[in-house]
Amino acid sequence: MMRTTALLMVSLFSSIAFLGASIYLSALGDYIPALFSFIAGIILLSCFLSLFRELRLREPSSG
Amino acid sequence: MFLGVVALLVVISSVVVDLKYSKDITPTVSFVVVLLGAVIYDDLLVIGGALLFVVQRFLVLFASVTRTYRNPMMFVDLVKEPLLVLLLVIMASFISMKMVLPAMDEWSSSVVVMAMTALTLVNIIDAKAERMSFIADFISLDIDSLVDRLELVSGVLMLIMSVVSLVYWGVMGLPVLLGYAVSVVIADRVFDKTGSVFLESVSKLIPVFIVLIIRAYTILV
Repeated sequence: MMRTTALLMVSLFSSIAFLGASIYLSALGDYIPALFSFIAGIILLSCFLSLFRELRLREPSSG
Repeated sequence: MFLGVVALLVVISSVVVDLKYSKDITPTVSFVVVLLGAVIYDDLLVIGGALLFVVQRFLVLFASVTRTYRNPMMFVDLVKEPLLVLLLVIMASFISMKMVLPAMDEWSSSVVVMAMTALTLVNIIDAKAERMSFIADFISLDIDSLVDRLELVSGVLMLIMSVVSLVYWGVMGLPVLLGYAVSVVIADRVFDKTGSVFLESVSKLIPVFIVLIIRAYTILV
């Protein structure tokens, strides 16, 4: 549980970091790295959602 | 002039067909937007996209005139999706090329093409599933379908961008494409079987890290 929660936080923050980096890089005019950063942000966001689902499934149902 | 008259006739007839059979003029609206893009920007790829729409519209007309099916939209549904997917690929590559061009005045045309792509996407979604259920998926945050969609989008974008970086950077883009191939193999063959979601995602980021290393190298050297 702890490991999944840690990975959840890592994937969320790195997703935000990559999306922010894509905005910053596109403002600098570096479009190829900006688009790659954007894709990385999407991949990490989907990773976050998968882990979130995993964590939710593990939780004992309250009724 | 002649082409303008033909385009106008196609638009009018497609509005008639849309209203008569599907009660939805979204395809016609997207066709008009693409057509305007072709006229204003006079670009080969946009014209190609417009031509695909013209083909689609003619198929509608053909099916309605020859009465091949009781409802021509049945016939169109069979051919609509591959055409639209092809159009989406053309538009996506067009956007990628526009984005990597250094001139900032290309941004205006990129925005128009993005609007076209969004409309095309709406059409594809419309063709694949009922629109209301798709929106309901997003509202209720069905995580399974959302993850599937995000993975699909990121996979397609990664492939397109790897090819674009190869075209734009030449030999320097080769490691990116190789990195993409390696990441696909690792993600699908190794981590997909072990069930580690996080490591699978990290392995998909290999081309991104390669791009950032190349960029840092070119800045430093």
